[in-house]
Amino acid sequence: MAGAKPKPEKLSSVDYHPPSQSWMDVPPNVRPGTFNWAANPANAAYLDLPHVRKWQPTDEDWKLPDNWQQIVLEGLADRLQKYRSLKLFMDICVRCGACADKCHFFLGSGDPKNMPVLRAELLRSVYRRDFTTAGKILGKLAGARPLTPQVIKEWFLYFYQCTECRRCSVFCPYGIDTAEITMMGRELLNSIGLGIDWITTPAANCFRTGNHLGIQPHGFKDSLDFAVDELAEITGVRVEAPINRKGAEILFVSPSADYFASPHYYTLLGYLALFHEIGLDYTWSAYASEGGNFGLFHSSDMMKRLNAKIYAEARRLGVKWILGGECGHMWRVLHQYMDTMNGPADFLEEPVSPITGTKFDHARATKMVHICEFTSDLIANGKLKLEKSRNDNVRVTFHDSCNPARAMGLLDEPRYCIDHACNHFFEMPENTIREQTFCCGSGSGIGTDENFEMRMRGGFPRANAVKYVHEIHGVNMLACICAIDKATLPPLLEFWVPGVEVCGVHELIGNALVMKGEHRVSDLRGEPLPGQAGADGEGAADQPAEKEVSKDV
Amino acid sequence: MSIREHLLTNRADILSSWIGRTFATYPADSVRFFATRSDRFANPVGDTIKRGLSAVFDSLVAGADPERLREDIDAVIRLRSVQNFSAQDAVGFVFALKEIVHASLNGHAGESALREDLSAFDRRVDQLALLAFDLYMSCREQVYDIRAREEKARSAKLLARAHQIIERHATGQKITRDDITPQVEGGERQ
Repeated sequence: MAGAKPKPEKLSSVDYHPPSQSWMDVPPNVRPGTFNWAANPANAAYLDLPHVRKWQPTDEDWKLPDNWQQIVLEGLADRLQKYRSLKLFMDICVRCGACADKCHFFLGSGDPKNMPVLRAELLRSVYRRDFTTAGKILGKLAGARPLTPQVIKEWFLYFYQCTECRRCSVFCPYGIDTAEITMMGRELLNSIGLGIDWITTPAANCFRTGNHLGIQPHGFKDSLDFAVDELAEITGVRVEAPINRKGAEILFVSPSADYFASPHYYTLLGYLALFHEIGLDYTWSAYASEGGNFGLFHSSDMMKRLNAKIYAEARRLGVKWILGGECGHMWRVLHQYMDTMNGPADFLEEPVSPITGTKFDHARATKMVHICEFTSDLIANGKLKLEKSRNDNVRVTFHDSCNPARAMGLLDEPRYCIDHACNHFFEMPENTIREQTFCCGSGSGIGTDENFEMRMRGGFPRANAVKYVHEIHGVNMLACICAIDKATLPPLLEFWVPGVEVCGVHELIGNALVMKGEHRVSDLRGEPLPGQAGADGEGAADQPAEKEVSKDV
Repeated sequence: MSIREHLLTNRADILSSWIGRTFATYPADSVRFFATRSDRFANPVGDTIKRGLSAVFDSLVAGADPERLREDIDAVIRLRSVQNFSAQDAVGFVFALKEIVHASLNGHAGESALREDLSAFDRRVDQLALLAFDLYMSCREQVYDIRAREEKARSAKLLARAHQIIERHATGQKITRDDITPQVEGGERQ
């Protein structure tokens, strides 16, 4: 280069761009840190999945069944017949590019195959070759390609580099939902035994014992008893956590991580404190002991099998309606599929808050209400005494979890709860929240440790916005209402934005909640409670919440 | 004219070339997006690289200490440490700055008045590359450290209870309900 000696003003016009290459010619790269391990054969067999075998993505030979192409193409034909949406999505994309720069994996990695349009092309190219006349005749010229083992490897890598978050679908002028294309891709992969372990094993556990970790009923009871004891130590109030109590008015279902993982656990303490304080007539179920449904990330059949337990338990226990906790994809399953799959829930009643009398008529079909809806109704009706200053040690921002936000439109209720539980609440920039929220980068069953690098890439757009409010407003707490978020955002932030922790909305509610007969000196994490003598932040209770919406800069 | 004056006068062109060379390490279809979309939240990679390299360049010109350079380049290296790069490709973009500056001198690089000044600048870029490699390594180590601790957090409460029971068992004590009496442990928080 030194020999070229260009003039300085010419330097900026030098084209350093590498030559463009057709995406079809770029081979899949099985790089450690960016893929997920194959399903454990024992758990795949437990679920009666087809073509169970031992294999790993790092193997050269994935030991596909002899007639694998036939299985995939027949499976695709079946699904094109069954789902009109899939047929539409295959045909109507005009490759306008509106979705291209909306995927967090593309934004964090720069890998063009993470553009939603190209991710869909992975499947669409095979569809064109075998299901359209132009593709059959013109082949590659018409964007068609044959189904080869390399294509299958590419599907495996990229359909597990999509968190089914649906941000791209918000921007598609045709309403193409790439998450549904990913779901079809994963179903087809699973039909030839190419599942991943972090979906298959939790699904098998869930099918057997009702929750992802395979905790049995006595273990479940032990966990709740443990939380009750801990809450008593923190608040001086001993609450009840009824399990399998027939005749209770409400069945409460939360993600299992709430009772075994950190920081989810503090949200569980918040639920328990809240239910006790309002005197809720409710029960947990030792079998419906999981809100999450990893079937959603496997196949519609698996999703239906796992979801059925919630209604089955509601019927067995004779409750009137169901209340759901801070879970992400549980709400997508509930809002978009539950009634069709396992409904109608005509043995349940239209949900009515026993405390305020509010009718949740939007839940008329599914009979299931989100805890943020329930709690914000309690707050709106003046049923809770909340001492905001108890959360003065935190400067909070809210991450809209993809599924509650985009799949069910739950945007304002969590904010309303936070607003009434904290004095210091700051919004992230508007093109990173609400319907446009950025995914944590680890949802849909790919939040594994072996996939850590990919998660750091996918979560970078989210972390980048958190970093902004951390620097501008001193935000030190990211609240969210999804168990996967609570598991995967702490490591994400530790890497990108040290100094910001993660909590649930009901952890903040639980801290602020003034309980009858309480004696508190610490918050739910055992840290000194602000607002108490000798602690920080006293006297801030009467101040209005700080609230700012940061604009793009 | 000193190298410093030259760098200040030609800042825009040199920086733009350096940023361009760094973008060129990504797939062609992504470069246009990274280079042109200005919204920092819609284009976090492009923004991080532009912002980071600008800060590094200004610190280099100002003769800032290594600690300052480390802070300036952290975000860029952190990003590239988890992207699809080998170690040498993740930090190699630093050396491109030398080539660009030499080329920008338009044949005057060999002049005696500049020679020593230019050698000093080259050494600063070499130091920057070594700093970048240190940072790359610390990011990779952090990845593995966080991965290990994440696994524990996922079952933190179960582990806490299991450890209590094992301790009782090891000391030959009877396991009772009290063994799962809660205790808040310092190491549990993220």
